[in-house]
Amino acid sequence: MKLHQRLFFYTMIIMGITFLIIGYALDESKILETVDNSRLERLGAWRDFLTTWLWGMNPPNNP
Amino acid sequence: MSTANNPETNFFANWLNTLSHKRIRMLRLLTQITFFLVLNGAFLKLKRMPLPLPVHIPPGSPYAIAWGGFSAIQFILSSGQFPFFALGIFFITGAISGRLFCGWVCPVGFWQDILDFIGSISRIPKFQVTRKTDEGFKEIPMTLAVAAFVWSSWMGISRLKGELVADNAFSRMIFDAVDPAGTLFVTWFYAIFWKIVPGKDSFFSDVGSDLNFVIFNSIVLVAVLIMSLKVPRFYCRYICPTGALLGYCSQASLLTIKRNPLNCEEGCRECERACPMKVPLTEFGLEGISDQACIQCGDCIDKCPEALSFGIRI
Repeated sequence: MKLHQRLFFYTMIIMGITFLIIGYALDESKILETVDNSRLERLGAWRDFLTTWLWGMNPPNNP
Repeated sequence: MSTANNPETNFFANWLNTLSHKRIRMLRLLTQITFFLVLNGAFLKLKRMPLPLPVHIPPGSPYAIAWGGFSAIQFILSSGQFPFFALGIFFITGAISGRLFCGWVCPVGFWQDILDFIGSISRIPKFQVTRKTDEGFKEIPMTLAVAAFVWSSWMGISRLKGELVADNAFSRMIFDAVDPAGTLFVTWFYAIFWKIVPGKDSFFSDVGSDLNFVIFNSIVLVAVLIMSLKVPRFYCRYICPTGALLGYCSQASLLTIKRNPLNCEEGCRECERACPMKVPLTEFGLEGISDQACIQCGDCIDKCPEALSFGIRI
């Protein structure tokens, strides 16, 4: 591995691990989870939620 | 299959190299089928996870159990946060395994391979994309990725300021709103299997009628389907921003494909013809392929196991 490749590789690894730790600490997946659960419950069905979401507007004032 | 030309191999690379002619292709096919079933595992009552993966899963896929990494990045950015976890997944997987996920795991990549196979058995003449054209068009995915980043960041900042109240696909995941894979696996899927067709609600009222938008998306999809029959991995090469992002991170990946020039015949280039991503393999040697387009599918190794093998770049 050439020097610039080595530098690039270690940068990716260090940044990757750091980002994973920060993302985990911030509980980032909760954002994704919130979308899946709360709206799913509100709209009554996963299928309806996805259809509504992909094709357009959700109900107003939907957090 | 020879591994003697690459002394720096590990167990995984050695094991892959022990597979003889065409067996990598078969192993890859089995892997793709398995991951297709697992990633759409809600059908089998698997639990949905808020986990972003470095593959393209159109948001809204009815049975998907995980998030496509790029969709998650757009969604988190547009929520006003920085997508640390999703980006970290890309950095780590790209640095370790390159674009292996594109070639072996991604369900959309699998769909592209099926279309290529259908095109081949139907004897549909393939387009011979010239190197110059290929190099120009290969810039599109990263351009789309950067544009989506900028757009999502803008939406996120506007949302934080309270200026943005709309919560639709355009303000959340701009790429996925026009993504042909999403049109096929979500819009058409719902329309065909559940007869859910847009038309009554005021979806996308800011860009015109929603039905018109679906028609526009469908025209794009048909064009991509036709091109995918004529150009191997058309979507992966010229559209997919997920692959572009993973490719950028994989420039010095640990797992790579190595070529021994001593075992190459002058002007043969059979490996380059077999490569679905049209990587200029003969430009690389024992140091390993560092082209961002290489998806580590192993088709080149199947074609010429004497000169090419999986290896670890140290």
